[in-house]
Amino acid sequence: MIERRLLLPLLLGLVSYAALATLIPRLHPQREWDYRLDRATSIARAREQATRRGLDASAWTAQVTTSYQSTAEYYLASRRDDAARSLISSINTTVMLAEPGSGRRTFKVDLTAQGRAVGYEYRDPTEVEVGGLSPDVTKQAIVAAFNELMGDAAAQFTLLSEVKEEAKEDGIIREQTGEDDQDLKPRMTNGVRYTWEQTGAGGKDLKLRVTGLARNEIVKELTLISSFGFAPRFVDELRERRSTVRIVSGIAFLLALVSTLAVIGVYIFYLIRREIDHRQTIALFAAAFFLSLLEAIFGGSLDAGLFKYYAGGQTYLTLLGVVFTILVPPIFYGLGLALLWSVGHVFARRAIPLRVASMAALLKGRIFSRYVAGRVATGLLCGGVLAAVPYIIAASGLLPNTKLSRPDPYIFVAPFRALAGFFQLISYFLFVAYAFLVPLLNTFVRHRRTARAIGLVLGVVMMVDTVASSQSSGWGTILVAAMMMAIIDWIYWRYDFLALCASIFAMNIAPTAGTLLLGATAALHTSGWRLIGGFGALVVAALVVAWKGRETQQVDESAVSAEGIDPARQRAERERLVAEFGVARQAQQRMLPKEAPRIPGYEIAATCRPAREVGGDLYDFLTLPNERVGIVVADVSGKGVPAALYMTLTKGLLASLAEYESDPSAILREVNRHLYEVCRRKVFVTMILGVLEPATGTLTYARAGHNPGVWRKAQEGVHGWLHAPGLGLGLNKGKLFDQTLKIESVQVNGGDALVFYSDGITEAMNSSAEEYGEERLLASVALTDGLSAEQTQEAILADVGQFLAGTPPQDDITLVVVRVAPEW
Amino acid sequence: MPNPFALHQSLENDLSVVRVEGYLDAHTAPQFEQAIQSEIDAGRIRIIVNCEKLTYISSAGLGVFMSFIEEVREQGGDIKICGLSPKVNGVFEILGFSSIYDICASVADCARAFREAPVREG
Repeated sequence: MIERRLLLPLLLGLVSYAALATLIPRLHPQREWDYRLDRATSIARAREQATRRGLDASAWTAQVTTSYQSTAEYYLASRRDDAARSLISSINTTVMLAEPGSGRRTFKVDLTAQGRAVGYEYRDPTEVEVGGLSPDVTKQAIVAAFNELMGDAAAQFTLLSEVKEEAKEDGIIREQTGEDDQDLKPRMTNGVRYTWEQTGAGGKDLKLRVTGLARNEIVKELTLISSFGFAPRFVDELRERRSTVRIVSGIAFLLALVSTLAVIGVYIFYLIRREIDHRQTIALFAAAFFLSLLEAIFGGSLDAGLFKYYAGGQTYLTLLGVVFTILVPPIFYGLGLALLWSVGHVFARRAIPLRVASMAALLKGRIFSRYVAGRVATGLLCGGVLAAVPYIIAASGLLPNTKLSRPDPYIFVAPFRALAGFFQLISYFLFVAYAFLVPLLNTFVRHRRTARAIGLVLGVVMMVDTVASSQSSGWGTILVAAMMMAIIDWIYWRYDFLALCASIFAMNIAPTAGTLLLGATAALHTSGWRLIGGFGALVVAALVVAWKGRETQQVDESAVSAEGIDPARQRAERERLVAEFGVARQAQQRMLPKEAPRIPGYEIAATCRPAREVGGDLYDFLTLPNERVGIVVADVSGKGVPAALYMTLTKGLLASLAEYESDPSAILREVNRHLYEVCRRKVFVTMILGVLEPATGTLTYARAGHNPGVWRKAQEGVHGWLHAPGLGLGLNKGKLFDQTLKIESVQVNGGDALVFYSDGITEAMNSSAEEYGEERLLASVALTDGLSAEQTQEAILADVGQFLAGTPPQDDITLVVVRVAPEW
Repeated sequence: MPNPFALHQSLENDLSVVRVEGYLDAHTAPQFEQAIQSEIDAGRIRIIVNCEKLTYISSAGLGVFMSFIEEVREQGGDIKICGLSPKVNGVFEILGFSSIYDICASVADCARAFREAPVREG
């Protein structure tokens, strides 16, 4: 049976992915980009240009990068009939062709989104100066090349200048090729640079120039330069649009800077106090570094690095640059994430252990547990909601000019497109930071809600910077950021950190798939479907494991702790006692049911941890007539051996009474009479006895002076107390007890939880002499909706343990959780 | 011990007031039991237990409260309790004592309760 908790994510996932499937074709920025290339077609266009220049580059290696120009994107979107449209684009592609072997010649080509070549650059490291050449021939060559490249647009341009390149004082031509290449570059002085400028019926608010270099009668480069900064009107327009976002971005930058410093400081502090395990940090670093490296490789770093290598003259220095380009971001990413995580976890473990429990389980390798897989599935499905928010807001027309933040256009030319789609991790930072911010704030701000609100506001500030696109008006961006942050907050607090991470992972998938499917070539479409298929398979796999996977095993952390060392002559006696207590403890533990009864439609988890070697707490399950099941939690007053003896007696009484009696009040009355005879008021027993009728979901219970049970009504998200009146057992001969005891019945529903416990939980006292109390218990139970009985029990015990923060429990702790299976 | 056990018995009009202070546990419970017993033996069956200075009560102490209530009520008297700290009150409530005993805020309130309803109806 799939946990009920997965129903809502399933529904949200279906709705949001359906919404994305409808909205992405209409609203995806690819409609404006009009990008018509992919890796193969880009390379083909570049090779075609090489052939036209008389180069046979068919066997040359090729690297492709894209650059995204937000200003151009906005220009094109706001000036629909501008004459410069065919020459500029928001996504420019550059292809670097390089000859194999050493001393490579390279040929670099710039392409517009539509695949039009608008520039190229030819480099030959072996080139030597040729003297006595005709300037006229050189000029003819470059003008011809310009006309050919610009085609029909050439008429819009006029020649602006013609500058002969001059040798600098040290004889090195700086302008030619960058700065560090004097070893490679022969000293050539016969180059001429030509510059054309667009005049007449060109672009209105931008200046287009073409600059070209010819040397040795050969055209070396032609480059189209678009300058938006020349048009004050356009610049103002841009500035105005971005002003709101810019302020927020500025705040975000400051916040990031301050928090980075703070994280480093806090990390060192906790490291010194040994609250952080540095090995864990190293492991986290390794994991984050590796993931980020994969992202870098799939996401264009390799291409960019090789670009630098070829463009920089192919020296060892530039090779070092390549390594840097590829390795530095993952190093920073890994370092940042590992530090942030380690620090955050210290706070989170204390303040909100439930939110990070599933992630901890995942890191321990419990991938195939239902609990972990359930959270992953939840996150993957809810990621669709995150992805859909900007699209829905843009489609609603709520705020005009709300545009979408761009998916990474490198995906078009990535060598492994579907894989690249899976590795877009950089935004994790923000969410990891957010997830740990609230527990951090919680240590300074008393109320969880206040901390959460502050976290939310800071989150929105950081988010604006992430989702801001060039075309968005400020308020639109802020609205998108706020809504996404609200959903992130919801996922985090309703589910947990793992679900949040999974949803962030999923958030990028749909828009990226959209980029690929709206691309121009069949190869892109195939990659798009592969990405969707891979993601779909992941979701299905997570759902299947959540459905059929392993239950998380509870680890019994209770252990007998030996106390201080006694003088030698007392040691033997002490050891004997310890051994006997060990036997007694085992005997007592064996008296507890080996396993909870298996009732179809119900799950039961139970634990009892004596504070001393033996204890006075008891839980038991009674097989009653008419297929009814009795659930008992009892607590003998006092501790240690006397309590343990009465506990044994109580257990025996219950077992014998259950043979013929199934009315809880009748059982309790009998137990009281027997106990009174033995205890004579010096010792008493408190007990809650619930009788569950599995078929109807009716719980009839009586409470003999025991802590009231908690009835968590999952569907309404409220709780009820099982606090029918009744006296403790063994205090009164019978009259008062019988008069006081009342039975009550409640009707449980799918997903509900019944929590029975002993006062060892509510009266657990930490080092500040605070009691855990009913409020904390209720709060802890409230977070367990949808968890299995065992997970609920684990979560409550974890919360108590976290509250105690190392203080040993003073009293026995008993906890029985009944979880009603969700209804279908 | 910061708050040693102490007992004070007094008469206010015709009501016995037994003031319990400090720790009422297995060691001190017999004294408390004796105090109540002495009141009953003297025929004073309208008893107020003043717990204002009671800091801790163990199961043995709780047992004492239950020891006499039926006997006292059968004779037409009652035991009423006042001045419970929130913590002790919580224990009384969970154990079901609050449905048996009149639990008042102060001795005066108990006295008023005795005037209005000398015996609590079970």
